[in-house]
Amino acid sequence: MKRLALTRAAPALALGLLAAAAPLAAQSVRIHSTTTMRYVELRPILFNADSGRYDPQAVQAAAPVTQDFEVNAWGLGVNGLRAYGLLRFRGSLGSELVWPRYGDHFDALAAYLEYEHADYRLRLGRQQKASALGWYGFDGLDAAWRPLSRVRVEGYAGRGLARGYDEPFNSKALAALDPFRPEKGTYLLGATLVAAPSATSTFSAIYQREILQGGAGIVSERVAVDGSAVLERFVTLAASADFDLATNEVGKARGTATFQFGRALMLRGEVFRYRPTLDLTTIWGVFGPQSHWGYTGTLQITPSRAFALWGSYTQRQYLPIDTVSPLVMALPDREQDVAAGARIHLGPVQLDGTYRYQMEYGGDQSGGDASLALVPSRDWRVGVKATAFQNDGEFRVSNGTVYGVGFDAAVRLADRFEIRADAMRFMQRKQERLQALTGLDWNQTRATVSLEWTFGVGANPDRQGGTR
Amino acid sequence: MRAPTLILAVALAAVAAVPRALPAQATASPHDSTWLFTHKEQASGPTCAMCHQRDFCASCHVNARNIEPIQAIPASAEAAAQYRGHRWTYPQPPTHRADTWVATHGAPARQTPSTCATCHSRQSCTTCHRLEERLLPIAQLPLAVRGGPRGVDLSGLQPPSHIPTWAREHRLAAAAGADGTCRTCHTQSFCSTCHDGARTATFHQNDYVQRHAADAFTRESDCASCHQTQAFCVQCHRSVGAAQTGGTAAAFHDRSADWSLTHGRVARRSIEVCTSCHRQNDCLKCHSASGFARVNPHPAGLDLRRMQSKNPGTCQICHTTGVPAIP
Repeated sequence: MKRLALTRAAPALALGLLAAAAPLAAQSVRIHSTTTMRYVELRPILFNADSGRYDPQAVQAAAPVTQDFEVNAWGLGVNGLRAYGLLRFRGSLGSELVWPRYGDHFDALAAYLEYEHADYRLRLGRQQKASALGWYGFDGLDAAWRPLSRVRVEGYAGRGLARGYDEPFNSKALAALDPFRPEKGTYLLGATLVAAPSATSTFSAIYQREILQGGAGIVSERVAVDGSAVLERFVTLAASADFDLATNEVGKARGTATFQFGRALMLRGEVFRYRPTLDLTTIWGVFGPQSHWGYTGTLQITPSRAFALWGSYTQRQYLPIDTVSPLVMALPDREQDVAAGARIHLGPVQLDGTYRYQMEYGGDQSGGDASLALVPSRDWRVGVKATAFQNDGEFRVSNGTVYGVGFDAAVRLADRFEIRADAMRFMQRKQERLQALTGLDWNQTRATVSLEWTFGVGANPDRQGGTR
Repeated sequence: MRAPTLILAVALAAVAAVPRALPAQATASPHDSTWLFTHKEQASGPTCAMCHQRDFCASCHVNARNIEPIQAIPASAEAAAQYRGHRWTYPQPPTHRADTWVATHGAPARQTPSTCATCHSRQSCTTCHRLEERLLPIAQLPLAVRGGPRGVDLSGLQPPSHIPTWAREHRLAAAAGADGTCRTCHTQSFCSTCHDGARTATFHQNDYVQRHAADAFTRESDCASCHQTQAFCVQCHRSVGAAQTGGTAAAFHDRSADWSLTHGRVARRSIEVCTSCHRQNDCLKCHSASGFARVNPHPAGLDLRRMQSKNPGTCQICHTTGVPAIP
């Protein structure tokens, strides 16, 4: 393992002790272990400054291994108290090519103590906040209060973590990738109001602020509202929007209407807007990233339990863009996406097929996936799968056609122990974009094996009353 | 494009080849089709024992030990051997056919869990309520044991909202009820399969390594929800040579020799894609008040004054000799 910096080691040690000590003291512990081993082949290319071309290198293989432990311990002597940890270990097996992040061998995705009372809940430690603003991690305190049975008010604050990285914002690993990354860490703080006016409706509003330590500035400051309601039993409306207070811009927004006519027919319409969320600590925001909007229609027909068919159409519309440079390239202002799929379930035989066609902005891509599986019981499954797709794109490395075949299998050896495996061989044809590379064997194999094991005793306090 | 057509044709042929005749299911003959739902009232006398042994009843009823009329029927080692591990197809009661049953079954389960135990083992419930054996209606159900009645197999059952495209669409529902609805069935480890630095690529299509560029440009999904852009995208692109720093790398930009001059529209529309290969100082070579070209990247209408008030340090990355007054 690589050496840990003191600032990272101290909280990691504390969290580790917390995670280790709490289960030891607990009367009931449940541990869920997931081991995932992957095998990924890739063929790197290397720019040759002399020839001005890209030379292919030998095929390399990455074999990342992930070990997750989810620990849930309760019965700690105080009713309502539990310890929760989600720990991830990573490693690479015999490979020169290291899959991203697998040089970092440990992360605590979550490690907290929770006290649950009928009227309030306290969480202390590393935790993740999932909301309409996205997925943010922090080391700190989350306090939720339920003044009414259908209302929850929540506040949280602590040391902020880099999004999708579970390390402090000023992690050395990230700084190595971007020399302009701030040297200071961040504090994350926010407040949420959640209400369920009825049994079939929910509403929430959230305010969140990331600030640099020492008051050096703000990383992000956003608010979001979202809600959903079931009307007339078969209509569900849902909407979500966020606003960037730091840049005075509307960010992402989404609204859906879902009509469920019995189990046989489902119709969903969606309107959305997308604008990226960019930290104020980078220069990317001052380039004025452009938003786009779009809509999606989805239809699912399920005439019987044995057969389901669905299709969707999405269109994205990009707004005209002004640039400082008069030298601009022509771009399509629209992207269309058509997708369809079917599932047929005849006794133990299950057939799945999907097809997707993307066109215009972003490049054209057409492809499908199909699988045929034998699922005689919940205890085991074996199947074959295939894929075929074509790329004809802009801005990317290569055009081409890819075919793939493979298998997947799963077996439950015991009630709480399951093994899954899948492998595919991808055969690439017609690599047209980089002429210098044409004719090379770009075929690649990828495989995954995972083991899931749950052990422990007693019940689990994950879910208690209230409107959480 | 022929390949997908071929795939679909093969798939359809495979379906046609599947034998339509399913294995014969045992029925309660000579009883009629409603018998299974009504036999409780009539199964209190010695009538059943004329044809059935206790082990026949116990091969369906997971709570057979608690049902007095069943216990009253003599057991038979021969029948026990015959029905051991037998897989019956359980009929679906009328109440379970309602559209709202998945969402509303909690209340009747709390009221009369013994009714559920007629067909459902504890494992039936924990198929979805994976970590909720604590809940009384679930805890009261018998555990399925090897060789005993298996109970209703609910594996694969999902709420109606979980349509095939759900993985891409769950964001809104999760945002509205992540701390309540989702955790009825899912724990954080399930979310962290994809979020927080993906453990596996289950979210994506086959060979997403080759396919992901189009999605990245169009923002089909928010990559940053699961991947730290600089750490994940840049690191992989560099490892395989797909990201070059310092050169124009026209091969990656549609082989456009004038890419450096014409990239502005693409950059504003899909700037997150730029960041998957480039670092900030790549842009600063031209877009900096202290660089040689000094190309102003600020579009009209951008609230620069507000951004400066929130974080003045960012302005100083480019304006190293002092930030000019913002009109």
